[in-house]
Amino acid sequence: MVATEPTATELQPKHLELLMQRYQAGESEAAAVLVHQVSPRILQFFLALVRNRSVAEDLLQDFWLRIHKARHTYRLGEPLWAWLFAIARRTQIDSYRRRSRVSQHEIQGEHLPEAVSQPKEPEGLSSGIWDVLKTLPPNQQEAVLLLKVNGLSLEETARAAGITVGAVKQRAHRAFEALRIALGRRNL
Amino acid sequence: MRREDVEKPSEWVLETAISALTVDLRPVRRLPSDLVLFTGAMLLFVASSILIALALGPKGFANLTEGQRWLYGGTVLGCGLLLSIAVAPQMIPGARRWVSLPYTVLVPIAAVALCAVMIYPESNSTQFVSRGIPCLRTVLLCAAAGGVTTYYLLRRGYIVTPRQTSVSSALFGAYIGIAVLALHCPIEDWLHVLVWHLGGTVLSALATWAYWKVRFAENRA
Repeated sequence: MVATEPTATELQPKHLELLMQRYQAGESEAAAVLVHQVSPRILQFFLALVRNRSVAEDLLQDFWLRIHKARHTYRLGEPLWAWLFAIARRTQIDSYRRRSRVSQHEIQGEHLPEAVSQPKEPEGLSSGIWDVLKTLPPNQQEAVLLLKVNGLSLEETARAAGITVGAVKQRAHRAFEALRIALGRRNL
Repeated sequence: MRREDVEKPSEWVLETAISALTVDLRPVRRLPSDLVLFTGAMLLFVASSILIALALGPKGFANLTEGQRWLYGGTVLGCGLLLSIAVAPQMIPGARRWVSLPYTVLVPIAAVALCAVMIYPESNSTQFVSRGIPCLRTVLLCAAAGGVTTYYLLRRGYIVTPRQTSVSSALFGAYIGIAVLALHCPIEDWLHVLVWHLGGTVLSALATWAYWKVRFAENRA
């Protein structure tokens, strides 16, 4: 399949919902188009959290395997991005636990090879903001990424994180307050 | 949105994902609506409570007056409904959380405690422990059996928050135990209900939470 850039119309929820419906009905073509259209945004989410391209791409593959297993749980009319990010979030959490376990048993070599390429800053965040964001607790980082970088609504963010809208507002408020103070100190 | 700045996945990653998804791709049947799932959970709650209580003998319910039966039965059914609404969406990623976990724990406990104080205003401390242990055992057994069954039923969907789901499932099972005891337990003592009936729900929720805590700690070790 030739990789095509998803257009703005193709990224509209209604269009993706229809693709999802066709994928649930067993259409291979719809699955392929869905992978091409959804993957960049999910990769962006993983990159922002793990800051390592190869790990993020591994996560993306794991994510699609999980989507395949869970595809019957998507119901037409429900927000698709909330469903996708809920699974992406779980994929990242499980992988983080797995990697922490493995890294504790690894013996580090004296000389580590330099990284081939550093990922770009997450879209919508400048370098200074990103440095401060990394210092926030994971749940606050996640709230900012879902709300501001991925453009989810409060309701969608709450659904993706498995919490109430009130809890999202609280996390986002704390994150923005911490960002405001830290950026004020740096005069950004 | 500056599209040229978005990191794009490698072509081989996309191709691998597509081939994993499309090999042997079959149509799937979608999960039903929230209303159907809530109703299913509620039916499970009512049916299992009545069946277990009938097996043990509904002595307690027979001793209550008409008004007390409505009050106690209504409260327990209300708790069952609340827990059904909390438990059912756990099988769907990105589903709306109608009730948060702290409310799932606190509201039913407060409701049953208040109801017990209204129905049984007297408290008799004789044989408090020996009469309480069988009730606690019933609640814990229901919490274990009901919780495990509910968790496995929820796995027909896709669980994204295992700890929250298992605590909710254990509470759901424990409240089946509370409903069984509302029908079965003949002890008319509000303190007995508070300690031995409701204590069982708190214990089962704490035990499940502790189980996941230990499991996560073992994973990190």
